[in-house]
Amino acid sequence: MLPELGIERAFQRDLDLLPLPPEEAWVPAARHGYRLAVAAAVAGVTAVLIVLILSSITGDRTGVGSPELRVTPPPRPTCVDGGRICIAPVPIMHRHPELGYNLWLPGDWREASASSGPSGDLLDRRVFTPRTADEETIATAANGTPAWDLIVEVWRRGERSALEWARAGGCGGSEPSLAATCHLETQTLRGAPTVVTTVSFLDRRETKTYYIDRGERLLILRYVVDQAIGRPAHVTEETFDQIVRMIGLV
Amino acid sequence: MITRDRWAELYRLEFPRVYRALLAVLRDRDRALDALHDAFAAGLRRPPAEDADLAGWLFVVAVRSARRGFRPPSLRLERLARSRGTDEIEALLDRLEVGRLLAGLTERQRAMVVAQFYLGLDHREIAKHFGVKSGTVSATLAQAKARMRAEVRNAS
Repeated sequence: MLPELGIERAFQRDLDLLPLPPEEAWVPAARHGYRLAVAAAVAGVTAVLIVLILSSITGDRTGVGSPELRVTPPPRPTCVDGGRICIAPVPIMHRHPELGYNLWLPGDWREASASSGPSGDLLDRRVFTPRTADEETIATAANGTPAWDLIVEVWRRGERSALEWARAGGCGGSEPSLAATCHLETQTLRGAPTVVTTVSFLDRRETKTYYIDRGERLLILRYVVDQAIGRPAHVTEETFDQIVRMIGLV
Repeated sequence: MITRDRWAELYRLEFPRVYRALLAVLRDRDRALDALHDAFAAGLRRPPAEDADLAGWLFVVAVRSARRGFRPPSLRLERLARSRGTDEIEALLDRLEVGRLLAGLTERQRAMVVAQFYLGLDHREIAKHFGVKSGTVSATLAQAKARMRAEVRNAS
C-alpha cells in the first residue's frame, strides 16, 4: 500500500518542477488556435447579423454625422442574456507594470499611434483604440482629443491631490465657454482613491476622466464621447466603464 | 455568479497549478495550454456559479476540451515546429518519479490521480467535476494505484 500522504508530497515535489510557459501566454490572447479562430469568426458573423438586425429596427446610429466612418464590425464580444454570457474574442491584457497598471481590453482593441513617452511631469501617455490605423485620423474630436478611444496618462503627482488635479483639468478647466455641465465625484477604484469628472459640452461632447491617486504618481484615464464622431460599432460608454472597472493597479 | 474581472484574477491565480496538472495528464505542452485556454474561454462565456474549487473546475473543463480537441492538417507544420518543447516535457516527466508512475496509466486514470494527489480533490469532488458516480472514481483510483504500486515494485 502506498502511503497516500507520501504520494501527495511526491506529486507536489515533482509536478511543481514542471516549467510554466511565459506569463504572456497564460491568457489566450496571442494564441491562434483553430477553434478560437472559428469562435472568433462565429462571433464576428453573429455581431454583423446583430448589427444588421438592430440597424433595420432602430436605424443606423453608429455613423451619425460621419458617413465616411462606417466600419465593418470586427469580432467583438457578443453577449446574450443581459451580458451574462459572452463569446470570443476574449479580452487581451495590456500589461504596463512599470507604469503601475494593467488593462483588460476587448480582443480587437490596440494601442494607437497617438501614444507618447515622457514629457515633463507627464511620465507616459497611451491611447487605446477600437479602430484600425486608417480610421484613427478621422476619429479626432473638435478639441484634438481622440473620441471613443481610451487615453491613459501617468503623471508625477507633485503636491496636488487628485481632487486638485481634477478641478484643474476636468471641471472648470480647459474649455469653460463650451462646458454646459460639470460633475465631480469621489470613489474608490480597485482600492485606490479616485476622483471622477464628467464634463458635458454644448456641442454634444462629453469627457469622462478618472484621476486615480497612486502615491507619487497620478493615473489618469479619460475618454471622450462625441456624437459628431461616428461611434465604432459595439463600443458604448458601458465598454469604457467595464474597462475602467477591470483595471489592475500594480 | 463570478464577474469577468474576478474570473480573470482567479484564472491567473490558478494557472500554474492547473497547467502543471494538465502537463502531467496530457504530457504535451501545446495540448495543455490549448486546453487551459479553452477552459478560460468557457469560463468567460459561462462562469462557474462560485469561485470555490476553481482549480478543479478549470482542470476538468480543460481535460474534457483536450479529449475533444483536434488540429486540422493546415496546422501540422506549426505543431512540428513546437514539438521540441513537448519532447522536453516528456523527457522531464520521465526523469521524475511521479512522471514515471503516471506514464503507465491511462489518460483518464492520470486525470483522476492528479486531481486527487496534486489538486487535492476528494472522491466526491472528482465525481462531481467529472460527472461520474463516486464509486466509479473509487474504482478508477484503485486500479490506478494498483498499477502505480506495481511500477514501484518493478523499479525497486
